[in-house]
Amino acid sequence: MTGKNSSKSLYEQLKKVDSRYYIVWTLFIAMTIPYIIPLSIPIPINEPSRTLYEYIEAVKEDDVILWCSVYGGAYVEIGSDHEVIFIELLEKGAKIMMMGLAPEQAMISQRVISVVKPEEKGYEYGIDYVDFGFLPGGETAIAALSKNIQETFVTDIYGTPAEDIPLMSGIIDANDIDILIDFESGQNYIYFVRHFKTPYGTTILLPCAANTESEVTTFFDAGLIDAYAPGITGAATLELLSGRPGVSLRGVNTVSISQTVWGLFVIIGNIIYWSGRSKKGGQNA
Amino acid sequence: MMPDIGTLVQFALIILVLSQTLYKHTILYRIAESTYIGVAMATVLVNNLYAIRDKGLTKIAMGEPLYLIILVLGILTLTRISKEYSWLSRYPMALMIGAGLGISMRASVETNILKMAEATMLPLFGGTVNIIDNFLTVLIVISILVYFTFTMKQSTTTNYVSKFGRYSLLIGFGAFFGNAVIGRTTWLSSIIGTLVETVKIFLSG
Repeated sequence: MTGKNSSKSLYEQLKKVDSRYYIVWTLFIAMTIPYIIPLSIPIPINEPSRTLYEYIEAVKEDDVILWCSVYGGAYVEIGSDHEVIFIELLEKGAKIMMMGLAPEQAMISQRVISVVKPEEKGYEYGIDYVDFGFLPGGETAIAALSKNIQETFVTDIYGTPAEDIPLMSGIIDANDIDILIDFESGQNYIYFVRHFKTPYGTTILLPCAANTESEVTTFFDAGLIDAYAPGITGAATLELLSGRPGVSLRGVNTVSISQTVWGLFVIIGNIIYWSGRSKKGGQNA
Repeated sequence: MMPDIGTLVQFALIILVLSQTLYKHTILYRIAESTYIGVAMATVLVNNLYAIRDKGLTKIAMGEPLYLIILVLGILTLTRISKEYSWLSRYPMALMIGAGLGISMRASVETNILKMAEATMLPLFGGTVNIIDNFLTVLIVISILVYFTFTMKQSTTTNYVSKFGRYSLLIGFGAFFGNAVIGRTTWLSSIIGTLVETVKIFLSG
């Protein structure tokens, strides 16, 4: 009798608990541990990210790369992809055209440039890479870009007309782009698929945020995207394969721990829910 | 790149203040929230103005009058704030929506319908790779199509197929949600990393 009452009261007590505080604080403490005590949790090599890295490795000197970044807040997931790929492409001698589809992206590209410091490594702005900043107009602008690159960009972020930039000589439309890399946290990649991949067959690589992975997979399976690197796992894979350890490799341990905690909470929540249901069922019967 | 100590401290303070939303909305929280929104909006506004200058006004200066019409249409969108002249904003809106939809629809048929449909027509037997995956893909596509078929009464058999479709959809939504959680957890991880880094710097003097 006493046991039954105590178990019932435990269930009732658990039901009354505002679980949000416990979830937040448990997560916070669990995720702090890897930053204080370095852990060596094995990092799974993400296969689509490996494919993406192989595409980057296959880039030849003077290949023209158009890259677009549309991620803003997801910098912690995609920022290191951006830096690693930028360094790899510069080292291969590729010609890089940067652009963004969100107003804040001009700042993000500038940040990546300030981290990588291409000038210190002997690369020259306007010859090895160029930054066109924010391109307004969404899908309409991308459709125009695929047909006439210089006309659509007009000027770079410093106000230099596109036709006066040495890198841009001979670049007319989507046929002149060897690889398109879209750093993405939303659905703008669909514009590139519609206006670059489908009509011109441009290779599209997509380092993306984890929340877009489910959708991106369908495009990958349909052959509309050639490779993608999802979230921090993808970024960590690129850091690992390129031999440039950075923030993503450190962060992926934290995310692994948080996923374990989430899993435990889901199990505990289900136990409480189902035990409560069976008790109610028993009482009703 | 490691930010300087001043930036780290500012960042850590803003994180701590904004985290008060877990407890309650204090005056400090409201100041931090308003500052964040103000800075974000200012950034968007300034970058948009630069874009108008670089992509629009430069073209007009180059002697392309068509861009002048676009500029006027852009200004007309602002008439929405006036009760008397708000009807004028319908013209640029109509043009934007019409052109946007036209461009999008033209390319959507091939990309979102034909290519996607083609990708679901997979070999069930004797395929080169992953027959279980192929089989599941086809099964799920058919069951979800049955689930969304409302034009005829469902029989007992189609009911089971429809239910399978419903569960498949729910698993799909679960995967979406799971990925979103991983993404947000990564953001939280970065924030915790910054806080720990700041504390470490202070402790090391």
